[in-house]
Amino acid sequence: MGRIALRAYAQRAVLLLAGLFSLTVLVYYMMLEGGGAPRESVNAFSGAKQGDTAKAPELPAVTAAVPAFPEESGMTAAADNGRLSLLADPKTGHFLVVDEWTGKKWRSYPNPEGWTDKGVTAVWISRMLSPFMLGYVRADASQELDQTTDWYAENGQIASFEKLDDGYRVQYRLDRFETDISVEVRLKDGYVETTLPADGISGVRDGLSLISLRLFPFFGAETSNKDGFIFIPDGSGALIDFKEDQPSSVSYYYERIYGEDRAYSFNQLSSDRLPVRFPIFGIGAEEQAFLGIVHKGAEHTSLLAAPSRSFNSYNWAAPEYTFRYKYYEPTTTSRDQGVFVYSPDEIQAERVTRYYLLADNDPDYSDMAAVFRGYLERESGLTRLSGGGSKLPLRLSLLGADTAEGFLRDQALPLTTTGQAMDIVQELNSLGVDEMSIVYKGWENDGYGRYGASFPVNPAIGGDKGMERFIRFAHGKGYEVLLDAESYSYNNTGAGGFRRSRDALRDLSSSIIDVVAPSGGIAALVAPRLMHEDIVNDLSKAESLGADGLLFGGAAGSRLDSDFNIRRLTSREESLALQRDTVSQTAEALGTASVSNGNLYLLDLVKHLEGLTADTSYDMFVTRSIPFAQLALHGLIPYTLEYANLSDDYKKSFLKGIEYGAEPSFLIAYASPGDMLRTKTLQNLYSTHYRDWLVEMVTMYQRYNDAMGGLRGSFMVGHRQLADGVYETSYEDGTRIIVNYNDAPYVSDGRRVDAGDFIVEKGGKSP
Amino acid sequence: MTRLIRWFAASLAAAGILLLGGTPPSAWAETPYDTYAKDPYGQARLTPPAYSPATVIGRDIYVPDANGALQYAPLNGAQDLDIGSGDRIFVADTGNNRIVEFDKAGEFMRVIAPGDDPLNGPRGIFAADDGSLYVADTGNGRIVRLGADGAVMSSFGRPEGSALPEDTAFEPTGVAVDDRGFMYVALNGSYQGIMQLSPDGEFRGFFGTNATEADWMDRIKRLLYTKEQLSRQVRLLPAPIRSIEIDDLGYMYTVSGSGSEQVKKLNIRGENLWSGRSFGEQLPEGGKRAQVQPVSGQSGEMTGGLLADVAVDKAGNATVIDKARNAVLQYDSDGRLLFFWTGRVTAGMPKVGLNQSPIAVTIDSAERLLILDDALNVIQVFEPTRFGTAVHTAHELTGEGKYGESERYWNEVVKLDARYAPAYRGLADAAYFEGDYREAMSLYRLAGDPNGHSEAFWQLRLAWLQSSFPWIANALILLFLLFVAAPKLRALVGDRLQVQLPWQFPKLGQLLIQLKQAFVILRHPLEGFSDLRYEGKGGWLSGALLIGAALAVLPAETYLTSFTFDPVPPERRTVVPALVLFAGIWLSWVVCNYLIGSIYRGEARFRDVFIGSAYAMFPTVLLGLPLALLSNVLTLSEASIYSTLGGAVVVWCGLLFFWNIQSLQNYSVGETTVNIFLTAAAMIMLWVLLFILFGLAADLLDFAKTIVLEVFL
Repeated sequence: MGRIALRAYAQRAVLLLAGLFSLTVLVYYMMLEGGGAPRESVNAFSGAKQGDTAKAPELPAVTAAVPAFPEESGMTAAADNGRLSLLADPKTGHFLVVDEWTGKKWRSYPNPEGWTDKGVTAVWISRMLSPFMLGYVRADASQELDQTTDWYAENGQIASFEKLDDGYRVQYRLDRFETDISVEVRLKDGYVETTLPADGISGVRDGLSLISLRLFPFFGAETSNKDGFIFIPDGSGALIDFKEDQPSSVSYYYERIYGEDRAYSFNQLSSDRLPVRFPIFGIGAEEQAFLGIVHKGAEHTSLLAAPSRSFNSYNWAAPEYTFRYKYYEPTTTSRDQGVFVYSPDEIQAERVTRYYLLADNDPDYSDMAAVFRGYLERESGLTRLSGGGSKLPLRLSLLGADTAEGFLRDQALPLTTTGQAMDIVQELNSLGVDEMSIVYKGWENDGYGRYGASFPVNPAIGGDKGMERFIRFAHGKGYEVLLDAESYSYNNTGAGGFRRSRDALRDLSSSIIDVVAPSGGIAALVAPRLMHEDIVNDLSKAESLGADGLLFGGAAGSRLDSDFNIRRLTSREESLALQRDTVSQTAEALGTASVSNGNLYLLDLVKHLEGLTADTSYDMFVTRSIPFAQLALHGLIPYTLEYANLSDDYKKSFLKGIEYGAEPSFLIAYASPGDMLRTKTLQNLYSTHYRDWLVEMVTMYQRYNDAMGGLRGSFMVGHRQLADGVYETSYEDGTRIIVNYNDAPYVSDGRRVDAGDFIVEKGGKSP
Repeated sequence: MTRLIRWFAASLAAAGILLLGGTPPSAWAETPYDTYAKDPYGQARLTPPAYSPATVIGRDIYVPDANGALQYAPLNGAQDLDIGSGDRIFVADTGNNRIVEFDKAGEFMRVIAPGDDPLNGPRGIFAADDGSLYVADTGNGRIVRLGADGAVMSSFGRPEGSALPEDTAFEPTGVAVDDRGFMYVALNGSYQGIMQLSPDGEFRGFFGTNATEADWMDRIKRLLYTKEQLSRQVRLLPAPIRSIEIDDLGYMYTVSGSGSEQVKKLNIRGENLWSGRSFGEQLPEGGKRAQVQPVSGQSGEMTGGLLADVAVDKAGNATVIDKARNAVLQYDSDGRLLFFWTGRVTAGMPKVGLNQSPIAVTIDSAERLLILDDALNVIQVFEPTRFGTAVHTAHELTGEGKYGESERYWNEVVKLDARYAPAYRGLADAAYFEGDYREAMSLYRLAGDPNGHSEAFWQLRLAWLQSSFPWIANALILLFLLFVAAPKLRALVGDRLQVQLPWQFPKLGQLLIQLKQAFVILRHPLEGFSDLRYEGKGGWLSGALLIGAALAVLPAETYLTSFTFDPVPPERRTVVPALVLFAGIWLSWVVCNYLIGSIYRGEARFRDVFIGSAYAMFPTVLLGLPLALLSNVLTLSEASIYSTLGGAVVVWCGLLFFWNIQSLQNYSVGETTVNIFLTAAAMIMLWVLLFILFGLAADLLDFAKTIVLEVFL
């Protein structure tokens, strides 16, 4: 083609370019104006759907009955077991338990002594005296607003009352909703048990979409004109001491047991409190106390605890049974606009709560913990640890590999190769650390922050061969090596054939749930069924390496989520069963399973607990944090607190470990701090270079063993505060350990504890 | 472009982003807030807490009433607090018209409310060393001096002859007193600064006035508007001063709501020692624990900050509180940020350590921070942690020049937080001071400090030069001799060399001649460029090779340039995007230049434009690598040489492009200039078009996907 012709074409090309440009600008402008924004602007609570013109049917007006305390004289004897006797009020279904030896009473309604009408609204009077409170939405209304009501406010009736062998059954009727609620109360050895059967709520449910139910919420409730406390399972345990005068801003405690279900979390604020690991609560006042344990249905229950002056003048704590969950239903494809609605199906599950009653010797939280320990022994089958004289091992967690931003592309950054791991173990041995238990984190093929790939082990740290060699080396010294399995919970690489659209966890509106993974980046949650499959399939590979077990955490043991991915529907209870199955199969195939931030339902399957926190959620109404979990678990299962080198003050965390009877635990890497600066994902880990912590590791190991070696199978029977910043822990063999957090020494009764130090008074009695 | 971003954000949202906490390996943090420090590149980085919550004061105030019974009487909207002698805490309980005193441990001591001369909404308080209290009695428009017994000693109302305008009320909201007894008063809404009063209450002048902030719009108005129009504009006034504070040395600190210089450190003459600095940081989202980010489409922007108060400790570190965003920021005595911390506050759930509405801050003798919260009506007390104390001590020692002593503390800081960059700078300073320059250099590199790196390198270079001087001298003499003898050598060797060169292979020989043309162009650009076309001295392959070389030199340059001149850590120097961008721009230049040339009387073919532009990039190939290598032996004192050379390369390339167009298209100088402008315009058009097309294609794809999903689900 001639040059001139080419030029002509070129000229036309330029004109075409200019023309196209103006055209697209015009079109774009029109499109922008026409609105990429959705046509309908629907805010969260308007709930108005298009074409919804039906008016809510008028419900009949309710005239409330007059709420009143049940008369003790009008109660009938329902059961008696020699020590405790149960009295029931046929008019309201309330009950009263009397301890015949001490005369102490526990009521399912607030303690009448201390009652005052002053400053309480009529609404709350009705609620405090009702046998139950319910939360509901109107199923047919266009307004999805949740409401609360109670038996008195609904002018409720007793449909039937019958005695059972060890208690009674009462059927409540709510006329407005044409619904019956059947409740059973039984007296057992040392406790009274309330049951809401799975089919306990029957009837037409006219206009009632049940959300929640609080059964006998004011059991054991007391006013603040006496000394007492509410116990909540915040952190390892926290107490809310009774206080008459609170600032107006006082709030209350309300948390879901086993943590929030992330399948209902889309576009909702998550709680910033620590998750509840054990479904327990309690109140103690005037030489009596009770410990409530949600025995069945805990996965669909939340705990509420309110100090006086938050709602009314009583301190109360109660479980709230959930029947429907709130979730976000988007109304645009971009999912940025939508409404909050409640799940359509009601959860059918049996709900059983036990109230263990304590009246001997002015019970305090240590006694409550002993009761919980007994419960664990009986119900979870936990048994006392053997090996009374053996040493406390150093729990060493090693960081394998992460990714670093390379010059051209990301590359693997080895933090502790298997060879280096051997060096670390050797060095610790030579410094006197004889007993160890090792966990390898970040061993996965792609390194720590890239979730999805698991076996083979990351070649950057030595691959399968290297890991095998390290495990053999550790076995030669008698140490166990566990591999971290928390990474199975997430997937952000698509490795292992994972496809987000097919395999990720979804909520009821089919939104894929993304979370902030431990590495700090965003990852999809793997569907629980798929995670279960993945882990079980990989067990043989772990076995071939010689691994002694897996450390669970994250969605595999620490969080409990449902899944509405159509291919893998999983309810919360099924998710719990899957976690238990995963852990038990692991224990069977490899020998050991361990869990970090684990829940009650895994206690019988794991050999070790990691990360029992010594903190609370910092609520202002909490007055003290107590080692309740540790009091109950010491001697049944070994545990560690948080990693000592990552705590905010390692000297304080050293003392905490002594006070709480924990084993020393560190998370370290061979890599120097300069190398750690290059990691892409490990932003939270301030200081992990092993050389920086050698001295502390050895010291902690030696001093912990000096103090607590030999206490392995011993129960922790007492814990109390001796003075501000000084605490005493006592064990069943008589050993007492006194810890002083202050900057000044503590001197009393001829004992002296230096500042920032502890002393041990050995006992001698055999357990 | 916005479309593209929206599409991307929408697809993220479509995937459902709600960020909930996973369980990081460090599990729960031991404070309810996250503490950050800025790394050398301005990014906020998590650090261990510098302060941890110690206790809460003010929850148990019981005052006997008329009958002697104790009544619960909590604080009510208290606005200020101060520490007196013996670490006693005095709170201006504004809503209750009284002063409340607590002891060092936080126990309630007494209420001070002079019955005969009651206070009215006092918003400021200052505890003098002699035990007397100066109260800014706002509602009564006066400063009141109370004795240790709580009785009114003196009362100072509106001073005579002050420069206050008639209609402005005298409403003191804060007061500070120096050791001579002179009072410095912050007035409500006054734009004139702090009023200085003598110990007798006489007006002495204004002090520390803020500058009026006019944006460029206001300046234009001032230039263009008439006097009458200006008088009708809203008056631009400087921001009023919210709070004042005096430290032990007599420096005065003020906090205002201005856009910059929010916190000023004033000396006795009113000069701001922290001029030009800006306080109040952009707070990061996310953090250690479960922080939720809103789904895109909802507002995720941060509200403006509101700095409320400042407190200064013995070392001169200033702690500033941000009321609107619930953050506490701490700066060193030079006004540089040390740390800041913030936590998510949920209304209705008060937490120990999290302030909902911090209004005042002060520091006691044990270096504890006391923050008064007027929503929770309590004082939250924070203690320095091991980490915080280590940083403060190390910082102080370095500031005093005691590098050797500071090393121990910096080492402790590094042990507690291996990522704390200022610690590496401190250690580098210590190493430098001790003469270990190699160590200092690598530490400065870790700390991201190019100046220090350069200084340390200078020392090393000097030492090397001094020790190698004999070798250098010999080498120079040899070079000189070679230079003199060069022509003779060439004559001797040249012919034989030429025979051995592979110019017998015609194709390869042709290519080499073409490549050699690049050097010719450097010396004789205009002729050189025409020769590319008319003498066949340029071909597709040679052009491609040259531009390929330029592209290859770019990453090599980035990699090889010394840290001193390019203070970005190697792992952050991502090269691939830069390469792609560079190649994209060059290619679009070539295309647009050809197109413009074709309609603007040019004579070049596409091939010519391509090859010419490739040859014009030759200076970067020639000089880029050497320059990068050179940067490794230069220090910042020779920065001018480096930047001049770098600039020269750019200018030379630019000139070559100019001559390329001029000669190949056969233009005059003027025509060339016009061509260049038109090419630039065409390039912009091309890029905008590409972005739009890309965005539209993405939308189309999204649409198709939705249809498919609708149909098949």
